[in-house]
Amino acid sequence: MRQGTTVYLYELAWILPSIAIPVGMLAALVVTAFGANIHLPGAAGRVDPTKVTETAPFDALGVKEIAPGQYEVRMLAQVWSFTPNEIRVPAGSTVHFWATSRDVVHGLFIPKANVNVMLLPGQVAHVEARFAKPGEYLMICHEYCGIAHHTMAGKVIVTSEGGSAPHPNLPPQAGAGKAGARSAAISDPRGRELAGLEERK
Amino acid sequence: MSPLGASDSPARAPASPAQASGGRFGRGAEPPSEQRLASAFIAVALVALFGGVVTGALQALEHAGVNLYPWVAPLIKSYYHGLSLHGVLNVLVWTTFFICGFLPFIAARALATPLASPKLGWLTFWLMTAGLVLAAVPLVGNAATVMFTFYPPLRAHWAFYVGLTLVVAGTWLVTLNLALTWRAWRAANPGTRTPLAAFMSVVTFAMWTIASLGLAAEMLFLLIPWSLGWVGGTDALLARVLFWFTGHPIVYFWLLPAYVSWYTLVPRQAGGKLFSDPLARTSFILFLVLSTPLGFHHQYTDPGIHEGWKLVHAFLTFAVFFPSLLTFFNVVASLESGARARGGTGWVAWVRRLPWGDPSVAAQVLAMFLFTFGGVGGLINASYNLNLIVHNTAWIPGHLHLTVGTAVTLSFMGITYWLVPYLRGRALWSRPLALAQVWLWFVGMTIFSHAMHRLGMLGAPRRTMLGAATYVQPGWKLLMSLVGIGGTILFLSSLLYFLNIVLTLVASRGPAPAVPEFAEALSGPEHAPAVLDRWRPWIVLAFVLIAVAYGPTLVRLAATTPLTTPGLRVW
Ligand code: HEM
Ligand SMILES: [Cu+2]
Ligand SMILES: [Cu+2]
Repeated sequence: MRQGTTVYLYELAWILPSIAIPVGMLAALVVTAFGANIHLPGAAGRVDPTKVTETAPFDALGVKEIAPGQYEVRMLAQVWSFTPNEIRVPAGSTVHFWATSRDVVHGLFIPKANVNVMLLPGQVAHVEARFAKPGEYLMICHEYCGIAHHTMAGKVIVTSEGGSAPHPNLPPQAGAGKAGARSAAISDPRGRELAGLEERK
Repeated sequence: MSPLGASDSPARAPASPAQASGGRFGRGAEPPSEQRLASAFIAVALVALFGGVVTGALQALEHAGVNLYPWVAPLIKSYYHGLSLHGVLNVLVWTTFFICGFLPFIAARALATPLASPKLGWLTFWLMTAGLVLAAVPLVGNAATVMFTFYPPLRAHWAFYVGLTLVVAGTWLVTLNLALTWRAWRAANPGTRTPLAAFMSVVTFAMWTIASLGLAAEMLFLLIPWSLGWVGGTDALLARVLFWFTGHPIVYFWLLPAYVSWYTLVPRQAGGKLFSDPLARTSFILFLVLSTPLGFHHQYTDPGIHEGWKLVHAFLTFAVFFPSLLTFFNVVASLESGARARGGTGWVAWVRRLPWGDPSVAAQVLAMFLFTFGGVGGLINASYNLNLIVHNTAWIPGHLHLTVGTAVTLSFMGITYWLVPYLRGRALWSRPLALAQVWLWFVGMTIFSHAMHRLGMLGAPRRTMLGAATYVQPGWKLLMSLVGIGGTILFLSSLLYFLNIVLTLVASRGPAPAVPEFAEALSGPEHAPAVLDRWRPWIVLAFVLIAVAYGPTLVRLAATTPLTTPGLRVW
C-alpha cells in the first residue's frame, strides 16, 4: 500500500492549507471590516411604498446640516433620477443617507466615497459616508431600473469652503434638528409608523 | 426528433457482456433512448447558447461605441431587451438543458444501468421545453425585459414566470429519475461503492432540488399570483431573499457537472488517473451541505437584513471555499499524473505535456485555468467589505464570464467535442478548427474579462448601456473599447464552434469517436468513508443549516411584510 500512503499524505498536505486559507482570509476580513468600522446596511425599517411621499422621513427630501460637519440626506429614487439629484456639502463632512425607492429597485452607488446600497421599495436604506476631499462625486444608479437606466445619475459636490449651500431647486429646510433621537426611532423593522423624524419637519 | 438524433448512426449495438461487466463500456452501450434523450436536451441547449452569444456580441460592441441595436430593432427592441435574453438564454437555458442531458447520460453509463424510466425522461424533456417556449414568448416579445433575475416590482408577463417554473419543475423530475435509477442499481449491487460519476450526478441534482425551493416559493407565492393580478402587490426584499436562496447554489448546479467531467473523464483523457476518489466524494458532499445557506452574500448591500445574518452567510461562504480548494488540488494533481505519464517533468513544465492537440482536453484545461482567477475574484465578492467596491459594477459580469461563461461554458463545449460526434455517430468535422475555437475563447475572454473587472474597479455599473450613459468617465473609454475587442473575439470563437458542430451534424464523414472512459483513481473509492455513500444524513444536515441560516430572517419577513408594492413596466 505504499502508493496509498503517499496519496494519503498528499491529501492531508492539501486538506490542511485548504482549511487554513479560508479561515485566514476570513479572519483578515473580520479584522479589517470591524477594525475600520465598515458597516453594511442593516434593517432600518419599512416604509409603505405607495405612501412614501407622505411618510417621514421622505415627506421632506433634501440636504440638511444636523450638527457641525454632519449632514443628513433624505433621498427618494424613482425612474430615472434621484431626489435630490445634486447634493452640496463642505469637505470633511459626514453624510447620513436615508433613502428608498418609490417605484422599482434602484441602487445608490458613489464609487469614490464607498457608498454602495440597494434602494428597494418598502425598505429604508441607511448608510453613512465621509467626504474628505473637495470635488465632484458621481452618484450612479447601479441596478437595472428600466429603459433609461443609463441616464440615472447625480452628483455630490463637495466644496472646499465651509458652510452648506443646499441645491437651489430644493425647498429650504428649517430647523437644526436633534440628531440623537434619529436612529432609534426609525429602526422599527415591522413597518409601523416611522415617526422618528416627524418632529424635525 | 432532434438534429442530433442518432437514428442513422452506424453502430447502435447493445453493450457486449464483457464491456458491461467492467462497469465501463465502449460506444453504443446505453440504449438508444438515452442517447436520443441526451441529444434532445443538448440540441435545445445549443440553440439557446447561439442566441446568448449573439446578444453578448451586441452588448460588448455597444460598450465600444458600436451601437447595432437600431439594426436589429425588429427583433431586439433595446439594449435591455437583449441583455435579458442574454442572461436567460445563457445561464438559465444553455446550462440547465445541457446539464439535464449530460448528467443522466453519464450517470446511466457509470452505473451500467439504463435510466429507470425513459418515459419519465421524455415527459421531463417535453415539460421543460414547453415551459421554455411559454417563457420565451414574452421574453422575445419584449414583455419580460426584467433580466434573468426578474426582481419585482419590475413586472413581466405571467407566462414568463409560469414557463420558468415549469422548467424548474422539470429539473425535479430529472432528480427523481436519477434517484430511481440509483435505487435500481443499488438493489442489484448491494455493498458496492456507487461509481464516482453517478455519485456526483445524483449529488448535483439533490443539491439543486433543495436549493431550488427558494425560487419555487418566490414564483408560486409571490410572482405568479401577482403577475396574474390575483393579488395587488408584492415585496421587493422578500422576493430577493427567496431568489438568492436559489441564486447562489445555482452556480454550483452549473459548475458541478463541469467538475464531473474534470474529475471522472479528463484525467483519463489526459492520460492519467484521478488522484483521489475519497477527496472527490468529500468535496461533493460538502457542496451538497454548504451550497445553499449563504445566499445573503448577494445581498450584502440590501437594506432590511440584519448585519449579523449577513456575517453568518459570509462565514459559510468561506466554508464552501474549502471543497473548491479540494477540487482544485485533486484535479490539478490528476492532470499532473497524466502529463508525467506522458513524459512531463518539472514543477510546472509538465503542463506542456498535456494532450493539447485534443480540443476536448484543451478546452477544459483552459477553462480550469481561467476559473482560478474566477475563484480569486469570487473571494473578493464574498468579502463583506470589499464587496462594497465591486457590488453591481462591471466587475461582476467580468467575474461571471470567467465562472459560468468559461469554467462552465468552455468545459461544456469541450464535452460536446466528443459527445456530439458520439451521439451523431460521426467524427468531429474539424479538430484544428476546434482547437482554434478554444484558444480564441481563451484569448477573447482574457481581454474581455480583464477590461470588465477594471471598469468595475473604476466605478462603471453593470446592466447599463454604457455607450449611451450620461456619465462615462475618461478612464473608462479605453477599457470599454477592450470589452468590444474581447467580445468580438469571443463571438468569432462562438461562430467557429457552431460551424464545427453544424458541419459535424450534416457533413462529417469519419467514424464516430468512442466516449472517453472513466478515469481510474490512484486512491480508489475503497479508501472513502462509507458514510459518504449515505444520502439521508447529509440531506438532513443541509436542511438544518438552511434552517439556521435562513430561518429567522425568512420567518420575520414572511410574518411582517405586507404585499403592497405594485408592479411596473418601465421598459
Ligand atoms: C460571445 C460571448 C459573450 C459576450 C461578448 C458577452 C458579453 C456580455 C456583456 C458585455 C455583458 C454585460 C452587460 C451589462 O452588464 O450591461 C454580459 C452580461 C452577462 N453575460 Fe455575457 N457575454 C458572452 C457570453 C456569455 C456566456 C457564454 C454566458 C454564460 C453562460 C454569459 C452570461 C452573462 C450573464 C449572466 C450576464 C449578466 C446579465 C445581467 O446582468 O443580467 N455571457 N455579457
Ligand atoms: Cu435606477
Ligand atoms: Cu454567490
